[in-house]
Amino acid sequence: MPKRLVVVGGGAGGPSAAAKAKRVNPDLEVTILEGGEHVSFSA
Amino acid sequence: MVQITTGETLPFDYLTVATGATPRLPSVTGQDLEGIFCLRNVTDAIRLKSFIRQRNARRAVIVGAGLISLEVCEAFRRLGLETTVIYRRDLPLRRLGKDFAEQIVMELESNGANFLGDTGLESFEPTSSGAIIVHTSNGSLESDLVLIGIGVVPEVSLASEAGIELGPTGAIVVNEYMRTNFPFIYAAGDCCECFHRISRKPVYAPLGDIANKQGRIAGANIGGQNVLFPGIVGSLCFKVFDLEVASTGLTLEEAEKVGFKADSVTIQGVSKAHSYPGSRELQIRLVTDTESGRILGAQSVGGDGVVSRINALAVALTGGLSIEELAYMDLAYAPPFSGAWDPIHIAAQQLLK
Repeated sequence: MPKRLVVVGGGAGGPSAAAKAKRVNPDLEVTILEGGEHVSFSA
Repeated sequence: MVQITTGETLPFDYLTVATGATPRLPSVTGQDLEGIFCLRNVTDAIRLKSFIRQRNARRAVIVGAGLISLEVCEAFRRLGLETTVIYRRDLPLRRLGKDFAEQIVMELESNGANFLGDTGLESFEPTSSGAIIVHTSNGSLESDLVLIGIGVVPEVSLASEAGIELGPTGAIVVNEYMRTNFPFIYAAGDCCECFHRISRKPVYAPLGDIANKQGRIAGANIGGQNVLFPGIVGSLCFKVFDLEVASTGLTLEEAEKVGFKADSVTIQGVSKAHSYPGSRELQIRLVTDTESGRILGAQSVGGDGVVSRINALAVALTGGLSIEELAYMDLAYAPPFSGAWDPIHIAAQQLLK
């Protein structure tokens, strides 16, 4: 079973972590949670 | 397990907390009035701009004088708003020194903004015409809108409920791998602390560039690599109207506070060769450790070329270079970019005397 990563927050740090983790380990199942309307607006 | 607002629960093997920061708010009467804004994200910016347009706002009061406040001040003036910045301390960016802070105030004033120092916010009161009266320790002002920019606090409510350790700054404690006190939970960005390489202390530095790096390192480690975040040297820059301001490392006061026997020099230089068109004045303050001869920090203000100098000095700080090494450093030179002696050389040479 693939490992699961949950990222809480879709600003700058969250998507950076999600993207890098997925690049390094493509088998990882990645979910980003964001409460606002815009994602990664400052990254 | 993460529980989300839809009622679902999400199981995980790894978690990254990247909850960011929220604007610090004053606790004064009337702070929920329509026309009072914070600026943290795209939604806030859209709301602020449409309010200005729809209400045909002419007057703005900005509470606080940090980077966001000063950048917004410039934007408001460009929109033609009559703008007043109120600040509880005497000068903005006081840590950079009185002389540099005074130049920031002069820049605000020469661009038509008002700066009221030593002015504490007391309350907001609505008027019948939909305007806002801002009551301060220094009199009252009527305005069409108010922007509150008094800093941010790390958003750690979820983390602290989950038992994630917070540090002395109130932000999440992480190690070099961006791991929290739970080995499978990482944190990155404005919700966590970072290690300051010069003061050797954890600091709270909520800046987007740092968040990106921390996030990438957290992700690399979650993916199975073994990568360390080396910490920060405390670099920052901003522009207000035609003045560039930048800083790296410690100020003299900060260096003394963490126990260094520090010395500093402030020099006046020019951004390009004296004879070259467009050359502008700039000042650099260099802070050194008198015991080791190492550079500890630098601050700079001026019309041009400020950030390139501070970036070079950030590299010097990271490498632990001495003032002696800086004084004869082989910096790139041509008249459109500096004098034959760069302001960095001039400052370092001055400290060697």
